[in-house]
Amino acid sequence: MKELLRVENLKRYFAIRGGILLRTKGYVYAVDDVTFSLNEGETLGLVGESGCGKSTVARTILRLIEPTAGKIYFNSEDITEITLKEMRALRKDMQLIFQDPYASLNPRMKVGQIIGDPMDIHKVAQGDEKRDRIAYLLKSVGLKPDQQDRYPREFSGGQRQRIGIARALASQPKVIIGDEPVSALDVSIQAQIINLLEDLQAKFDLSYIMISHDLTVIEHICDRIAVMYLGRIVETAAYDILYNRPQHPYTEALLSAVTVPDPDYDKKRIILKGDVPSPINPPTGCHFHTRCMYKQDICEKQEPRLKYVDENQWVACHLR
Amino acid sequence: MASEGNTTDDTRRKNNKKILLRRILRQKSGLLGALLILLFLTTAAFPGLFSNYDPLEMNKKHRLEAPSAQFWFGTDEFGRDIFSRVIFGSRISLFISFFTVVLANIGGIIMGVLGGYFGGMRDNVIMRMMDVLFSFPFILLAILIIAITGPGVFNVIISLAVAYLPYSARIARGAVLAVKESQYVEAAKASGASDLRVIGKYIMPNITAPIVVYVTMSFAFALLSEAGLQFLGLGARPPIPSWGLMLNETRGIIEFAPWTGIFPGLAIALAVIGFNLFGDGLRDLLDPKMKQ
Repeated sequence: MKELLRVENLKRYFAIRGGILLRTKGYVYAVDDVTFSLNEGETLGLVGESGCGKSTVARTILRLIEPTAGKIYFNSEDITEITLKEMRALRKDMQLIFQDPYASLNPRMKVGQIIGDPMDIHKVAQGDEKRDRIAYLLKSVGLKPDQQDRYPREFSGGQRQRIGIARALASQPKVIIGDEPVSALDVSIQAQIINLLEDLQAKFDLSYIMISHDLTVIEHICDRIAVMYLGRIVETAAYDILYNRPQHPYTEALLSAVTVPDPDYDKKRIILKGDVPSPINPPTGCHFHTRCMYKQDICEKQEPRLKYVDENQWVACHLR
Repeated sequence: MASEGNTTDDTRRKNNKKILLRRILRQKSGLLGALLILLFLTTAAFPGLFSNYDPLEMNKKHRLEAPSAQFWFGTDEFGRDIFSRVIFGSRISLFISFFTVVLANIGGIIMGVLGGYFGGMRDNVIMRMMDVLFSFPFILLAILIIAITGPGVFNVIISLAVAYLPYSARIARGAVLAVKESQYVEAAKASGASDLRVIGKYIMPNITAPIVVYVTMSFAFALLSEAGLQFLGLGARPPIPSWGLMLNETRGIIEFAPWTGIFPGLAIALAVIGFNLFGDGLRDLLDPKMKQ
């Protein structure tokens, strides 16, 4: 399998400014040394609690937010070095699906214009060809081709998310990043959209990065899952490996919180103590040590590196 | 299949039009405003249709006559027909206000949108410049500019436009700030859209409602301050009929010939009320939060 996207030591710190002179008072360590790669045709899941930096990772890959440090390689090209103009052209190959289908569609544009605009920008199709392509995309995402002259307000949440997906497909991208693509939808609609994404992946040869705070949502479509905690990746593995033998204590806790649709199912739930520490002042060493049940002295002092376990499972924990 | 979809689409569109029409008709005061504006626009465009007299023609036999069947609004101290002068006066007032509003808003919107969209240093420079303009009392700033450029219709337009610039810049900037962080703008950027495209296709269409309302309202302000400058003798030269100038000319004689002041004053008031009512109606119509 060919490597399509590679993120190396990605960091993004947001400066906190204050006072009259707007001096930098500190930083929010939103993404702190994240490394992963995505192969062609693969789906990578990025899970973690809200505020752990998942969305920032997504936006930094598209350079909607500029990275503070680190490298991003797309097709072996370092896209942190290219100009913003070149980056805009490159966004043809990388598209984003947004969380809130009510906020992500321009209310003043018709559906056809919304889907057609990326085609205009990247000169994918014009005139009749464009109209045909819009109709084809609408059909592909399960909407009617003749609905392209309607406004987004005439659609339901699930339908709007389908429009958002069609827009992401419009420029014929290679990678689609879904930033919580289903978490704003009803559970029954969630399944439909997940299935749709799976079908589209096969149909259009897509690679996905799926971001979610809910493991159950993405377990079905992800080949690999990366678990994030406070701006860092703590563990990556294929879902079944992760599920059967989680190595990181945070993954263990996360998995124990997964709801199982069986009332008699009795599983020990690991309740973590405290809250996620603030990313403005993250704990020293391992970011997780303040809440970890296996904490040792070394965890406070030294930052654990990702270590290879087995079968492409990596974990950042001193105790493994 | 397709034809079926089209017929439902057509009926849907007809229904939407009906709903829109009903909502427009519900804006009683807004419609009254529109009517007033239309009235003044017609008098300004075709003043000859309304008046039988030449507004400049002096008539010594009929000096300071009270309103009558012959002279509806009476005559002034030179025996000129006030009705004709009020009718012809709408020309210059609307002309000046129109170009003031157009110039001020084009300039203000460009500055406000650029400042709001790009933010940072550019925003700071633009908005501090606007603050400097803001720091002068509005009419004084206009008078100051005329003092430099000299009186005249064109200079009145320029001075009022400059004095209004910061207001529309602030309105536009505020509207952009509200829209620019929205997800659909981010989505447009993620699609690879350039800044120009984002502004033109995603930001501007979503800030037209507050701007259109403001522009209509600013007509009322412009009319009022135009009359003020004319009153001070900084605009058109006599004997050109102008409402503000007529109010000036009535100063010494209003006690025994009140009609010389009442009618031009009424004209100003009605035009201002017209634009205000129309602006209010537009806001109610365009603001989605007011929808029932």
